[in-house]
Amino acid sequence: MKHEEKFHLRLSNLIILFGLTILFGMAAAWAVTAVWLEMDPMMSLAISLAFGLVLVLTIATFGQRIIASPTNNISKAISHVQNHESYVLKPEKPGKLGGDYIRDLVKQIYELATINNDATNEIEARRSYLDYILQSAPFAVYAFDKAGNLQYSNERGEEYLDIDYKEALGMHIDKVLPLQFQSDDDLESWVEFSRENKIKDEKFFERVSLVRTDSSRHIFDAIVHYSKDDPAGVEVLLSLGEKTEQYMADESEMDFVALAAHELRGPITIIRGYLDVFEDEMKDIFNVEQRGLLQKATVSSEQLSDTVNNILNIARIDQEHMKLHIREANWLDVINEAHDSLKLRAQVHGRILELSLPDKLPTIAVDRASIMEVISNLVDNAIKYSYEGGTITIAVKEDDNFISTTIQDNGIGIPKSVIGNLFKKFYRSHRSRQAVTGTGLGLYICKVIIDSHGGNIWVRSTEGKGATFGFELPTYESVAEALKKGDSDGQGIKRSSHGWIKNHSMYRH
Amino acid sequence: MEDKAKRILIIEDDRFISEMYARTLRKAGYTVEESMTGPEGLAKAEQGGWHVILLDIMLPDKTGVEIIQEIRASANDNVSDTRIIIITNFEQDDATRQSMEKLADGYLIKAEITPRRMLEIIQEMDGTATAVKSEVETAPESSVEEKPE
Repeated sequence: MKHEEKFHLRLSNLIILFGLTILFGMAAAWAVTAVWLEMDPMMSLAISLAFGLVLVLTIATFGQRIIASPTNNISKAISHVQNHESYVLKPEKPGKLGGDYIRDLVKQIYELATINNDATNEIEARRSYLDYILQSAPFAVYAFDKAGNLQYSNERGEEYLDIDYKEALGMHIDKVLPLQFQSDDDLESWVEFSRENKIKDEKFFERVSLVRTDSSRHIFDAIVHYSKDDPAGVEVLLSLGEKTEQYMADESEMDFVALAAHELRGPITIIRGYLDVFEDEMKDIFNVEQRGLLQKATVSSEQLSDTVNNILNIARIDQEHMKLHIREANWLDVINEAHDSLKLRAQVHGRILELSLPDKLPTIAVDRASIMEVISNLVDNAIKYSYEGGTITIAVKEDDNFISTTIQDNGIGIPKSVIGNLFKKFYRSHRSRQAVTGTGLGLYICKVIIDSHGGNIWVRSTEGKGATFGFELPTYESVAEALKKGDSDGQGIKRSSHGWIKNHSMYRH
Repeated sequence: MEDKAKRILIIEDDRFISEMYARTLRKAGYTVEESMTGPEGLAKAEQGGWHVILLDIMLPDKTGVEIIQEIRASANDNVSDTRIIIITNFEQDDATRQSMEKLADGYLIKAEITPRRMLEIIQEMDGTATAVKSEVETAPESSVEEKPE
């Protein structure tokens, strides 16, 4: 028989026993008083009832302890568990009234409590392990809520705060961590975008800068995680990795190049400028030959300027500072413009620059300034490696979703062994055995620019028979969707490698 | 056509450079004044009546940025119509570009802009250019750029 059933049986037996005791007691009292003592029947009855009452009270007093003891044991067990006191199974000597049953119940209570404790301990253990990992991580971790207020920072993260951590908690990110991003495409705008469009998302930001109150500067790479309905209320989880030394070194290198370029540009400005003035004022005085002499100097000074631009571009490419403004353009216009500015150069060097263009083309997606540099570099190349009197042809044709442009010369050509290396940085092929100046930068820059446009650049050549350099660029239509998400620049600003001018500036106000 | 010749102010500390632009612009009929320092240039600018101000961004005593901010902040009515073009040989970084695009009407690399090209640019702004050599792109959003005249 199970303990519970035994308990119920014993309890009912006990109650029956008490009942019987009272009944018999009363009967005995009546027997003694009515029969043996021959008292008045009414008197006997009264005495029996009184005796019965005494028995009830006695049983009640002592009996309740017996009945209550099981529940006492249970309530003690519960209080042990609450107060984390020692777990001792009671009643120690099972037996009597449902002792086994009560022991079972008490045991269950203790077991449940232990399981609960273990679970809690395990959670605690795991949490402190994770906390340990976070705290010893070599990167900063911050958690921000939906209002942009700081909820958490790990130890590393606290180092970057100018405000005491306890005070910083609950403060807005703009106050505690005024990060500067490389462009308008920053954390705030990304979070706003994510709020409207995403449930979860992640983004990587490069070169994020932080200037401290003591004016020291940190540069980080950042990874941000956005979560719309995080149960803990964390909307943004930001992780910062220290990259200061590395990026500072990059920057000082870039600064050097920018400074050198600036220094070179000073005299170049004056040389080009006065040659221009001279050409303008002497055009009616000089004869053709004399004008030609001046043009040689003019063209060369332009090429000098182009070389400085190439150097700057290389430095920008290396530092990944190169930023293209890709827009829809009419390719025929671009080519015609290039032709206009390069035909003099070709002429001065005794080359003929020709065009072979279709009547119509779909529009193209280009960063005009840098594409002009590509064409300029390729034409320069063709001039260098072709013969006196030679023809250089710029041809354009449509090719599926691309527009392909070739620049062909009939010069000395390129040997097979060299072709594979042409677009590498600083590469100077055997062609340079001719007395020709060049820095080996031009073709490398062309490749980077064309690649950045999502295009392709190539070369075909037979030694002794000239070379054809070509590149293809995507049509505007094929990339229009992707472009619209890119940087918006619709202020009517005309850009070139020479700078920019506002379109219709009279409408500025 | 106005009777009075349009006035151009060049604020540039390299005399050779300011002279070469001034010479070509004067030949084309503009009245040109040159200033070699920031404070002097600013004072002249605030007198007003300038059609275009060419401003070097790297002056010894006051930066071009400060000057342009002060010119724009000037309450002079004459000044608000003036186009200010930054001329420099520095490449601009993103931060400078963003602030310059709000304040200036142009940003030109001197080493790339010959005097005759400068004249063309100013004439284009006037709408008086004779041979418009459109060597720069037009960038209103997703429209095809206009052909040169």
